[in-house]
Amino acid sequence: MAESPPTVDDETFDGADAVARLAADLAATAPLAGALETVPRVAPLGGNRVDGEAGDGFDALERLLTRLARELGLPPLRLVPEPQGLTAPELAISGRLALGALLEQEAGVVDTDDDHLSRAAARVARPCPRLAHSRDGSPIHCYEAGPTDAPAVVLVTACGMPVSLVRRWMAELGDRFRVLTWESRGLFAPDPGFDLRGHDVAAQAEDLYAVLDTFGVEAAHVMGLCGGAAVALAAAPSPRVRSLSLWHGDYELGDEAPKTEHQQDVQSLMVMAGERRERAANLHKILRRPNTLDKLRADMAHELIYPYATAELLHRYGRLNGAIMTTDCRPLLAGVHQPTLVVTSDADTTAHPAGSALVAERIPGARLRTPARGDHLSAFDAAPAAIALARAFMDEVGFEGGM
Amino acid sequence: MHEDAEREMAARLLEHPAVAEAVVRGGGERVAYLVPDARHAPLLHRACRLEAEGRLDGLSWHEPEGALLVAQLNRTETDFLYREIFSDNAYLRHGITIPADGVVVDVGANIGMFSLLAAASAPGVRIVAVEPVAELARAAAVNAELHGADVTVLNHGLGSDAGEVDFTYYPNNSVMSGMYAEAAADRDVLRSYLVTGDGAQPGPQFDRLVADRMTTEPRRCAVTTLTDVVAEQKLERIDLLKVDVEKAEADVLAGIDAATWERIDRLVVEVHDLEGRLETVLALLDSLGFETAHDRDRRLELTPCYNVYARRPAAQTATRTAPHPAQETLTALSSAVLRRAGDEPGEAAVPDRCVWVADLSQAEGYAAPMARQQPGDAPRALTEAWTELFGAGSARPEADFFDLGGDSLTAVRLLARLESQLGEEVVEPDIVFTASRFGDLATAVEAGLAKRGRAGPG
Repeated sequence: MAESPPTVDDETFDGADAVARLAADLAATAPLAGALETVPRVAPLGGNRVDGEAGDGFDALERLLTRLARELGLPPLRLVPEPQGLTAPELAISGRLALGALLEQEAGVVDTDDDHLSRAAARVARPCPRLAHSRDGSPIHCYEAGPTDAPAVVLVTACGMPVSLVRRWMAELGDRFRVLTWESRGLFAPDPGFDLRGHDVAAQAEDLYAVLDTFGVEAAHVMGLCGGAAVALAAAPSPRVRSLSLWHGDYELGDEAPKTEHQQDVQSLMVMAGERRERAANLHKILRRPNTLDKLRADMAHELIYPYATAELLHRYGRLNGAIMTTDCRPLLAGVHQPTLVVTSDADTTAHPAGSALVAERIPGARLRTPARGDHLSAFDAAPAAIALARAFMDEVGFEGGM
Repeated sequence: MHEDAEREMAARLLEHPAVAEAVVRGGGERVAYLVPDARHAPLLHRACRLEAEGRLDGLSWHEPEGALLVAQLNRTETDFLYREIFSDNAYLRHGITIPADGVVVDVGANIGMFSLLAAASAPGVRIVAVEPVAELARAAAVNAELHGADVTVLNHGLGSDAGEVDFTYYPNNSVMSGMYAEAAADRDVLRSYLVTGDGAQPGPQFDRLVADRMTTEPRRCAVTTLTDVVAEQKLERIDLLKVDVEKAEADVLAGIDAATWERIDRLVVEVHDLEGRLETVLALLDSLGFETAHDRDRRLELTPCYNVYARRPAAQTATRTAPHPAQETLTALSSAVLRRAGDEPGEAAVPDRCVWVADLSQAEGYAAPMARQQPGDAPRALTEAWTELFGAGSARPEADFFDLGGDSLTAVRLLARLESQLGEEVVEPDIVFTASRFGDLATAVEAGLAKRGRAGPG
């Protein structure tokens, strides 16, 4: 989980297009809502309304939510007047939907006619996964963007994060690259056989090759983000990885690099949760509390909290991310033969920048970029400077064949 | 736990169809002794019977990845074998399959893990498993019986000629044992494997680990040829010959005469590519009319080990993944039984763990370990954990967890510390959300310990 102050979402509220925005937010929170074991409750947050003030507007809003969810093909949500008693995932969904602001709008917003509603729903772009199977049979959801004849780049995102967290990278790099990514095994595509599969970093690295196979791509640039950097390193011995860029990586490097308190906490949480299902269920009792949201960036909360949504997800996350966070990366570094760029920032208080520095030092010929700005989650913001850095690196190292 | 509560819990455990008899014992740690039902838990029933008959003798049970119960020597190796054979499916690749009613010869069977995979791959498979190390051969036989697999275990080696050879047994690393073991070279291979895989460890600990794994024990073992085995076992054909014999593979292949080669349809051979052996083996198989392929486990990339896959062009092929082992597992069944007992309403506390036994006399005379800590100690453990989180002097009765900056992750850390000191289930995991002041938390911890103390024997 991330440590950074809440910031205001970059999209500003536009009353005229409130229904369109609600449709988009419903789609954005759908993976989290769909992961919960009960019908998610949402409360009207985000307005100046006095809590508990239910009335005609409330009923109309409930109808609107139901109609819109149906139009989008999503399971229903249950609107409740107050946020008290909601779990952290439910509050994350409520925060994103910001229904409180809608309640303050003219009645026309919540009484939108069916045509407008259908049009709003139809305009929502939702990522459509392609199902791949990794070498050990693990089903994984994978995604692509950009022209199919362009050089390929694979985004190895942080374990357990929904694909929407890398949507900015996909959109930005998709103008000149074929961008591929996937969601962690066992956490998105249903897999009753999870316990029988591999959970170590090597098994997760195999998923990268499965993604390349699924899209018929021989080789690609590989970008590892946060914990994905360790998975990218594990995949690097393959000639299918043409270059590596590692962004704000979270690495286990023994006693040679310090870890932040946050890294240590999450690591011990992962190990405990991955140990047994009963233990994960106990920890989930803590993590479903609203308090969990306190240090999550508000605009990403519905994504960051996904692998904590249920006890089962937490257990699986613990096994997979626990492996990532405890596997010593050092033996892999000297063997990295690709051009490599390592990016971190002194402002990263989540994954210690000293880890990235050591990784850059040990990989032959790797270069390290340490911008002064940019916290841990900036790895997902795909800010213009980061995009320019990624593009310049990939252009410089080039790409021959592999389509 | 009071006798009444123990009886109540035993009655609840008996409601699970997999449980034939049950008794609950213990104070600090509550243990449910369960006799498995022969019909609903046949695998566990067989396991308990084998154990009661003394068949383990130096072996132990382990269930790698909670998926396949086996008798074994050490967990690290068993986990490695399970991953290689089942999770990574290292053998049934490149068109190598096992047909129904097939005959498989498993040379270098170790504890018989590949034999179990072969048996589960298709109905009616007959397996001849060859393993020179007596302890491993015994484990292979127990595992075959446990899983109802048709396996004949032969406790000798295979070579180019019949005779006796000196053999190096690594008890802590049995998979590398063999007649060509050389401590220095094998240590390098092991080091390479460890630094490639996720078993990598830093510095001096790593060297100790390697040294420990390479403890040697010289043995002398009988050797025969595959040709002789085929004759003795009256094998009309071999649908799959698997060879994993740590550098003796060339000898095993040299001990196959022309008539026997004609009976072999498929091979998977681990080849140690020393002095161009990979080329030689591929050329040999090619000259015998096999189609070949080879690959290498990524974790073994720094070692000279390859797997060579060969099959007759006419041999039936199908792309397949490793079959899943049987569904009944010790891990799943134990947790299902406890979960179900916990779902029932009632006062009796759910046992901490299950011990499956052939009969309940094994539970008699069991001395429960004492509670790890007495009630009076609760504040000390809590004080230490709290002080570590929030600094010296912070453990005051009115100090509030959240006012001091505690959050969900801090709560997890506090829970982890309390559990490591006091054991699990002394307090509700999310206790800090209902008792956030230090004083209230201390009371809750004391109450939890007192409750556990009362639940002790008598």
